[in-house]
Amino acid sequence: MDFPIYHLDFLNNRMLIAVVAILHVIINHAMAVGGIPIVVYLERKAFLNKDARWDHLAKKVMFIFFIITTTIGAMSGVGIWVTASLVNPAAIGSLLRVFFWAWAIEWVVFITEVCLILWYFLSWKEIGHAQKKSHVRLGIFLAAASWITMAIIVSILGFMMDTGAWTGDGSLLSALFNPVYLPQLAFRTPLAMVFAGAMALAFIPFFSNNSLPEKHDILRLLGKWTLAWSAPFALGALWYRNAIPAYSVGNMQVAITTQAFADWYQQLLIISGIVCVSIILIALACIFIPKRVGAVALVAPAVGVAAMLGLFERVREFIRKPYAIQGYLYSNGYRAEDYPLMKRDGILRHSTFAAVREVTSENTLVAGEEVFRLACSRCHTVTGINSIRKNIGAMYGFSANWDPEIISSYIETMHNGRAYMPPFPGNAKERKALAEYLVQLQSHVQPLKGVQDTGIQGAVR
Amino acid sequence: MSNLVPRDLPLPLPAPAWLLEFLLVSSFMLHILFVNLMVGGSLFTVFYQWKGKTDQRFEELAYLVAKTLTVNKSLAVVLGVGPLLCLNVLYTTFFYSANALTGTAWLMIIPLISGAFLLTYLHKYTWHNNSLSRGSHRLIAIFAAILFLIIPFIFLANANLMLFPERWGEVKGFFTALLLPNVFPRYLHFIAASVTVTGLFLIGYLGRNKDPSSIFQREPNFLFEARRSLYSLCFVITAAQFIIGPLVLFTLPSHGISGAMLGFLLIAIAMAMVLLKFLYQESKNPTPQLSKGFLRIVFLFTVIVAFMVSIRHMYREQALSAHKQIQKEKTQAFLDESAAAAIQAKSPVAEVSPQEKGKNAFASYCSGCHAEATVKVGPALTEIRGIYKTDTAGIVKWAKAPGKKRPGMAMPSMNHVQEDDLDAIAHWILKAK
Ligand code: HEC
Ligand code: HEC
Repeated sequence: MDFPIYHLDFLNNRMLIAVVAILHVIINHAMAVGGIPIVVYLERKAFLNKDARWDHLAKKVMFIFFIITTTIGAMSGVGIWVTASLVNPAAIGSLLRVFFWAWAIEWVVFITEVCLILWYFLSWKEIGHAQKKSHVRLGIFLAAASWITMAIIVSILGFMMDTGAWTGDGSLLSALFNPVYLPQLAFRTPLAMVFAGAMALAFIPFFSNNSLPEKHDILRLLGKWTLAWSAPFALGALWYRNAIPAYSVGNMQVAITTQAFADWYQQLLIISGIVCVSIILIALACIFIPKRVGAVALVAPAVGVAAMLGLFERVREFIRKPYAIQGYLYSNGYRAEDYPLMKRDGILRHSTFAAVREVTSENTLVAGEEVFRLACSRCHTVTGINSIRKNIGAMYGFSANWDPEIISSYIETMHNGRAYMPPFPGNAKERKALAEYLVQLQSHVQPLKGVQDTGIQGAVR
Repeated sequence: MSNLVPRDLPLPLPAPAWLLEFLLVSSFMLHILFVNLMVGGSLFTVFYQWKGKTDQRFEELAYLVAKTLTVNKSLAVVLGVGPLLCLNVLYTTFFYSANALTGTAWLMIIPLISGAFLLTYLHKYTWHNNSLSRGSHRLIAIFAAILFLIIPFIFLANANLMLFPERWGEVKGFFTALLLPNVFPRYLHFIAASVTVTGLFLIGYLGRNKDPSSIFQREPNFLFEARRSLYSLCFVITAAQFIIGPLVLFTLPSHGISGAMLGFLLIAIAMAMVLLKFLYQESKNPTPQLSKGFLRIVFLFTVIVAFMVSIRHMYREQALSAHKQIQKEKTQAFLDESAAAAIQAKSPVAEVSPQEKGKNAFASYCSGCHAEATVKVGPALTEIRGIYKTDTAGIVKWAKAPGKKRPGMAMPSMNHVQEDDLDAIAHWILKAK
């Protein structure tokens, strides 16, 4: 990747994107895509029954959604770009060039959504107000805009898992209409609805206000909502899982946890199952025995769905590996088609910002570090999460002396044994230098620094 | 000098450059308008609330401003996405390089802006809350304003740094990026513009509320008073821009300055002088109305801002033109080299025997973890032969979906390996025919 390399050694770089992205998805799904429909549903109920208490409830829930979506929600959306442009500028830059017009349309819908949400919340009408009916209608438009925003993003994300779409004709349309698009939408929409129901349930214990409806009435209603959406949710999840290309599913085991815990996979599936079942049970309890449902039981579903969604996003990210853009660009920022050149000349020669541009007998360790930065640091740290020291230690023992020969030959074929890693992009000399650097890490624990701390080291040339 | 210019991403622009540049400049103007209103609004809120300590009317005025702030800030963010998109596409390598160099500070814009927004909400929604002392309430607005004053530095440092690849080598983190010429003058220029834009906005906005209980309906004279002082403020700040502006110009590295740019600048300055005169007149008007006097000021101001934003863009293009040329050549040379290397690497594939095929495939896929007689990560082949004897299909089955038998690490699935490769491997391991 011909960019100055930003690197956070304590927090894995990909983890950084994951944290921001998952936060955004949670807020977006629970409080916009699913959240607005639930608020509008409550408001409409209040309007039809001429019952101001339901209106107060709707407004109270909307207040929380409004505050969070227009601050952390909006900023974490921008944050995905910001982190992606730091961690893998080659990937986000390429995506934006191909998907520019899709993003531009998305932007227009997004502006509409923000204007509507401001308008909807700030112009809330009391029950009995002449314009209450049109306010409810405004809410429906807002719900539609939120859903369309998500539908466009999903189309953009979905394509990245479709092998060949990019390299086929690289066009926008072929990428948008890919086989995982509809399943993913069918999965996310009811997920958002269930999530919003769970989120609203989680607020209830904290509301104490006698202008609201009876608590058990609220629980009964939200319980029904959540239950009603869980069936489409389960179907959508099945459809989506079947649509993910077979190859990726083979890799899924590693995706969910790291390798060492691969056999947790089965357990994790079971845990997800338990989360689903308990949400259904709690929803049933809310419907039939609302008075006996305690605060913990009300908060638990939201936490459960958030955890599941986080897990899902992590899997979705992971099944893209070793590619950032399937078939075109590896996660390390190198284009697949440039590999022959990189393997012949080495990556250092083609890296404008590298501290050294060639491996010599004097600079082995510096060159090795630079190769690590270029080829491995997008996914590995030295001392933090997914630490390369721990990875190597787990393979060859922490106390045994690591052998540069063995490590170098491992790197040569690592993509075969570990399909989620891209092939090593550099030449043999660089591979050996990298191995020397890695072996040296066994005794010299030094966090790897990024360009934000070191500046451009090759600049003096 | 352009040693540090990286290759471009080898993908065409999604639209002709002129169209993208036009979209960039026009969407940026919209964005910066609301950013100005957000930063300026935050400053005005603090100021009016402070005056409200002694004069209750200003407390009400401050509340009016605070209410616009929470709307304007949302529009500022959402409208920023468009220009950011264009910037990303047009100046990909320059912008991302600057981002990486200022790294963590660039990342901090997310929590800082979120924090500032949350504070503005807190401020607005605790306005009539009596459990909070007025002093602490004012303090919330002050904290928000401080954040709003800090955040532009991060954006400006990046926007500045991306223009000067020849200086990238000197930068070690955000604070050194701040020291490059032009950041501070440009910051002052921006803050001054924010105050003026917000001032003009408030002149038009105040008094909109026709509700008889609202402050300006109760005291029409206060409206005129407020408008007059806003005009005076705009006048003073605009006059100050005649000092700040040249400072911005003279601290710009000269290689980006072109004749056309200076020509535009002269026109803009001439218009600014007229604007100054209009502002002065209105500030002396005892009953300033939203009629001709106001409209011509807004119109002129908009045109000046359009000029300024375009001039900025001209400078950017000029400053980067040499770098872009070098980049273009470098990228093309790289692509040619890469294509040649790809052809070179595709030497004709020789026919290999099944045993040979198995051996090679084993070397690529399994040898990282398995060896003939020693335990590497997984068991030795001698042990595997003992378990599977002649059962090649068993090995293939295991490799596709490995179980967990031994303590320590599990074997990853080899599902991605072609079926016939796995088969050849199994035959080779078991020395089967
Ligand atoms: C696309 C991201 C990515 C890149 C790039 C990458 N790795 Fe990995 N690597 C991983 C993941 C994920 C794991 C699994 C970690 C775990 O199981 O805990 C891993 C595991 C490893 C392991 C332990 C393997 C094992 O069998 O348990 C080693 C050694 C390793 N990587 C070395 C490297 C080296 C050297 C490079 C650079 C040439 C590199 N990796 C590049 C993602 C990557
Ligand atoms: C990343 C390291 C790794 C790679 C690569 C790897 N294996 Fe393994 N293999 C292991 C480990 C670890 C075990 C022990 C697993 C256990 O017993 O739980 C194992 C066990 C085995 C076994 C013994 C199964 C049994 O029934 O006891 C076979 C056969 C095997 N591997 C075949 C292969 C083949 C064929 C390949 C290449 C296509 C391969 N392995 C690649 C790590 C690896």
